[in-house]
Amino acid sequence: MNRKRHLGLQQLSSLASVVKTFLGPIKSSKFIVDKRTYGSVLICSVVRLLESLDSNNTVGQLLNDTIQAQNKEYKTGTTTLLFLVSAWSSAVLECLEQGVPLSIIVTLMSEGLNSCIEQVQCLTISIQDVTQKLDDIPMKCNKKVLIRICFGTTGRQIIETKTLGMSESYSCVCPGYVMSLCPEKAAIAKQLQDRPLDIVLIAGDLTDTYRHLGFNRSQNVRMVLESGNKRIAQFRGKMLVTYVQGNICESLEEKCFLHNILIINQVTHAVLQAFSNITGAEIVTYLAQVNEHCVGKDVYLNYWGTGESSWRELDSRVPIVITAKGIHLVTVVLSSPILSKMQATEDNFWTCAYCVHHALLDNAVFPGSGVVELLCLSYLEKLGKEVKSSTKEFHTDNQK
Amino acid sequence: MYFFESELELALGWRLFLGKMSRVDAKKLSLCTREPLSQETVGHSLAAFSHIVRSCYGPTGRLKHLHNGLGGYVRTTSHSSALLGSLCVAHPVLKLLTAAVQNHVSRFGDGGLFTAALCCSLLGKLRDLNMPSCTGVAICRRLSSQCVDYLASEACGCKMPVDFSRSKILLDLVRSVLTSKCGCMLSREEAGHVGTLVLKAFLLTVPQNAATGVTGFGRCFYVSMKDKRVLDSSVCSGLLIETPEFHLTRMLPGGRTTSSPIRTALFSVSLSGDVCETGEGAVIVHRGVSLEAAVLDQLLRLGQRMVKDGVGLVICQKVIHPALKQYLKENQVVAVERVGVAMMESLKEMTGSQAIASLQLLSPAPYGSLKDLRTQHFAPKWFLHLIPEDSAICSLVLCNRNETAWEELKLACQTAERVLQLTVKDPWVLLGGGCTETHLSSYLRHQ
Repeated sequence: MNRKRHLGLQQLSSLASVVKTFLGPIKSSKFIVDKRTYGSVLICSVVRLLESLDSNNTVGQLLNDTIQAQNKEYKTGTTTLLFLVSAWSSAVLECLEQGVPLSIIVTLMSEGLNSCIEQVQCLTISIQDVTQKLDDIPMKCNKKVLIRICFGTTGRQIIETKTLGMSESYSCVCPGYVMSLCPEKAAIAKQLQDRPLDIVLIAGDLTDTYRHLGFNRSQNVRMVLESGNKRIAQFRGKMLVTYVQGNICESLEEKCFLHNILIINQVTHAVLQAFSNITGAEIVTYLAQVNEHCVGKDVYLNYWGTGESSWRELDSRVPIVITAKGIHLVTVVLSSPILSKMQATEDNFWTCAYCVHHALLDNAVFPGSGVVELLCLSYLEKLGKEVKSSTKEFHTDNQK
Repeated sequence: MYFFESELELALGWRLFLGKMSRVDAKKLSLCTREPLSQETVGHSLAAFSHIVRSCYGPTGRLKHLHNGLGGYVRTTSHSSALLGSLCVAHPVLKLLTAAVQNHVSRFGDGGLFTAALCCSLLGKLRDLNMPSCTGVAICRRLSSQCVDYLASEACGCKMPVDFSRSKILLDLVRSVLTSKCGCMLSREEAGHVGTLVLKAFLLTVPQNAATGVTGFGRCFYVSMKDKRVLDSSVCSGLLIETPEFHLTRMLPGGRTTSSPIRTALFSVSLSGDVCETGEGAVIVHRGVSLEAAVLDQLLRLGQRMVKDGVGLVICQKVIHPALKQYLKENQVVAVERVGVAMMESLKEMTGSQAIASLQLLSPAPYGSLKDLRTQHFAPKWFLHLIPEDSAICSLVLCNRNETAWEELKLACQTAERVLQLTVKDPWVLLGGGCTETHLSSYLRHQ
């Protein structure tokens, strides 16, 4: 066999030893070091590994595409997929060395895969049984309380906040939108606590020069539009919270301080949408568009983690939570004292959350600890023995 | 019989080429080369090209990776259109060859690899025989006319008539096109499913009323759903326009209760409120006059006029100003923006109206109509479904495992569509599996 022809397969099979250390209950994280800048990144997952490695060959690109597709669709199982790709590449190389034609290899492998999928159906455990045995079943993520809460949040949207400098015991799940305010805004927030508030939702920037997407500015016409300052005055006297997706100009922010209006910017569209859905307020692009359909009611603001006197954040920001009754939005707060571990914690959380999501969707889970893998191995071995002992010719389209 | 027609073209092309110049360089003088086919470099280039094309062809055909040596995007394909479009070809003979094959593919939509392989093999044979070029051209011409005459005759033994009242032969034809490309990564079941959809889509593009003067087939739009299961693909009549979910909630209040047609307004001009191009000079604006406010005012008056005229759907090729969108939404008018120029022709045909190109509406305004408007959800995307009264437009929601497989499958479906269209014109199929080629070669030998 011409070794040069199967370079791609060889490259793939060499990945197995690296990926194996990401699997199973005893994992080892890796550091990827950039030779030029000497910067390093802590890697705990295969997706981040492939993103960080430079790949200028075709196999690397195809592998990256495949893993990214799995990640985008399911957000889990990427490590297993990469390990299988690598292991199967070694198996294919072995078969090619023995002269087996490629089309036969492909047919048999897909048949083997399909029949294994059929066989493992008998191992599934329904969700009802799982909730009772939660403490017995080994799980990837050690945040079991998170899983219990996730069971109760089907159909809701989850977003994250990351806090740095606090120990991991501060991580938790909270309904509504949690974020931190600078001290000046915290003073306004104090006055808005514990009473029903109005809310206005703005997708875009609150600056003089902002225009909506698709607006073509003419090169030689300078426009000065009436500033939003006048508009914001119409809300004077109301208890108001405003969410803005982008930035705010300083003069407007000052006006808001004067009128006791809390403006929160850099809010993602998902949060705007969640509040729009529950309060009925339309999301607008310009402040000038705000009318009675665009003001939502019955939004509540509170300090988050009140009573936790040891709470502190970088540059003395104050955490608050804004919520509305029945809102389909949940904020997960992840905290860690180590910056390099933040990305890994976040990835782990999402993998866990998606595992639970898929489990609820399928209404079933598989047991862990290699039970599924062992069943497949013993089944395939049995098949292999049956074929060897059979006196008939093995036809490739035999349905087993 | 299409591939033989193009071989004729190639023979004519050779005649021009063999007698005259090679290429003209910008700085050098014109170079005249006699007998360019006899050069060594031509032999090597042709052999390499022939190997590339042959190794993609047939049931054992394999994929090629096309990429820049310095890195960047990798295209994985076995389609001739993708291969020839991406290969950098330097030699003039090869350039002519690839241009001829690409022209063939753009006219007939199929048979690119076969044509390229056939041309390479003919060129190779003629080089080996070392005869004068005009003799070679004459031989090829005679051979191709014999083949064309035989295939057109009644006595031809390798063709079968197509009976359009039965779907089996059409399904087999479509499936043979889809499974010829291994890059689609289709299982047998999946190939069957997509084949049925392609045939359904083709039937939806056949115009219902020939009397209205429409002489061509309609159009099939492909909706991309990458990283999804192939078996989730589907087809529907009308047009699917992707919209973000939040635009759709509350846009169509609980589905439409009336069954009357929806009045539509189609705009090709931008409704985003920007001032049109001012050209080279500067524009002086007096104090107190705001250009933006003036244009926005005009847009809102346009909106009021449309609401008064009972328009139910506004479609704009470009962007709509948020304030206008808000006004229309508050008045129960659905607004769709950024559909792009590719869809405009089909939208004009579906709604039966011209596109409005200015902010001033004529009286009466050129509105169109649609039979129905619905929302469709193909997870995770949301679509607005425009259903016309009677039109040959359909949408094929094509799903495949990943981007590479999806691109290959789309090309394969487009090829299959083209093959079906050509079969309507000429209702015969040739036997596959190499039978036709073997039969023809034995026929020629006995002549």
